[in-house]
Amino acid sequence: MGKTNIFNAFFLGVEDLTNKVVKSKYNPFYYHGALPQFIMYILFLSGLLLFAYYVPTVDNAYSSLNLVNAFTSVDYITNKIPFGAVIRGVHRYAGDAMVVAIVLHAVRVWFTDRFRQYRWVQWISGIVLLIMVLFIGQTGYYLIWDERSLLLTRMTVSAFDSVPFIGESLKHWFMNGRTITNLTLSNFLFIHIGLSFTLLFALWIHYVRMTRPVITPPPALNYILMAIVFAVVYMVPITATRMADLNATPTMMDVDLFFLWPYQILAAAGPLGYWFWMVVIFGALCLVPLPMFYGSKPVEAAEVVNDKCVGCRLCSLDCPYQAIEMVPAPAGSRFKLLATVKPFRCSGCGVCVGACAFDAIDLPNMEDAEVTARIKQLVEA
Amino acid sequence: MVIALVFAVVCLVGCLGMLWGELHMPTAESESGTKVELPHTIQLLKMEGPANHLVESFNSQREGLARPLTEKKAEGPLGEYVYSLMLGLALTAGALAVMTLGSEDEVEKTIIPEKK
Repeated sequence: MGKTNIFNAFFLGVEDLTNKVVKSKYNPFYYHGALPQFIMYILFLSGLLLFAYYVPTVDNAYSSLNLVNAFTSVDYITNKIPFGAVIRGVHRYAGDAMVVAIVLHAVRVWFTDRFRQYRWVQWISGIVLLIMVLFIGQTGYYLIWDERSLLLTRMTVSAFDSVPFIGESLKHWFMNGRTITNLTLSNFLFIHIGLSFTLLFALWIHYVRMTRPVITPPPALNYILMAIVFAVVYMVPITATRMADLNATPTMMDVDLFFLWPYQILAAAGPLGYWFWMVVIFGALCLVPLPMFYGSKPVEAAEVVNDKCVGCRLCSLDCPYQAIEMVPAPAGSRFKLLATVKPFRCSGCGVCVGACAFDAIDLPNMEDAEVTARIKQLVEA
Repeated sequence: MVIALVFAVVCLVGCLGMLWGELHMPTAESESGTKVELPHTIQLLKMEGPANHLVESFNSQREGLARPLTEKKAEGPLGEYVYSLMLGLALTAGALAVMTLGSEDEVEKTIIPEKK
């Protein structure tokens, strides 16, 4: 086994300290992937409650007591619906918590080297999930339809417009027309909700190549997470804003750093600079699993001893990574099937070696004789 | 053992906070100074005096917690945010209670079969 890197050692040390305070069953570091999943449930439920009263229109040609548009419906939810302000706060801060949880999850996965080789699917799908979550959160800010929403919408339109060849089409798709109308807000609502449900499909891709993924934290951790969200709702309450006016040009806004940081890049660097930095940042993240960027030896895949394999399929059935495929045995063989290993899926765990009763599969860097000798050494010690 | 004791104390404080929050619920959405309608049973038992005193006491505590919200220009009924804080405290107490008093079954016991 090679040396653990310094970051891996740091995380193991912190987890060890945490285990001294809480039982390992409740150690939050062991559920860094499951916590964003639970936060997603909170977002779905609170979003459903908000959606019940939301009206996706921008009409404000005249102001009256009976004006019903997106802004007044959000205002109605906040001030008239029982606990509407709290539900709105829970939805907003659970979204922020989700971004924090995803980034912490990515940091731990990276520092503990869990992105290499066969885990590249999880890493790339995780980057895609992060981009989806960021865009969903941004569309959530458009839906309020206050001055900030109008400013963000116009900035996004200018960013799309700058894309070569397809910019004009992107802009019209985004606004659902040539100008901002009621159809624009309907489009934002569709993107916000539709993309949220598409997250479930993207999560399936994220999980499908994992063996026994932990996707539900224990209830105690869920309670603490909810408690933190409720406490933040009290400490940072929802404040009043002004309705968007299509004839005005708002310039100032409070920026939610968790979701709206790309807009700061857009404001600072302009549309082309924005796309340059987005491609660089997310492109670089996608390149992380490439072997050329890390120095250690890749995992050596298991190897089948063809002469001994009888095609019993035990190794294929037991492999947690679906890395062993049964193929028709070559002509002249007494048996029907032969096991073959897909090296890019193999993690070198050795379950197949234990499953095989015919000594027909082995790990090249840990052969049976060597393992037996080591066990004997330990027993005699 | 010390950590379990600390958790137990926090759990107790949380339970009291939760009880405070539950009793406070009827006034959570009312504006300050609004008279709260007491249940008929309170009137039958001729306990309006102590009950009104309790409500006034809750209102003054609620105003203390709601003052920071007013300074931050919070939108919506302020009592709801206070209730949210109490709910957070109750959830924390519940989590600590579960973690402290959880059963032993999460510890895996390895059973080594005897050779016959």
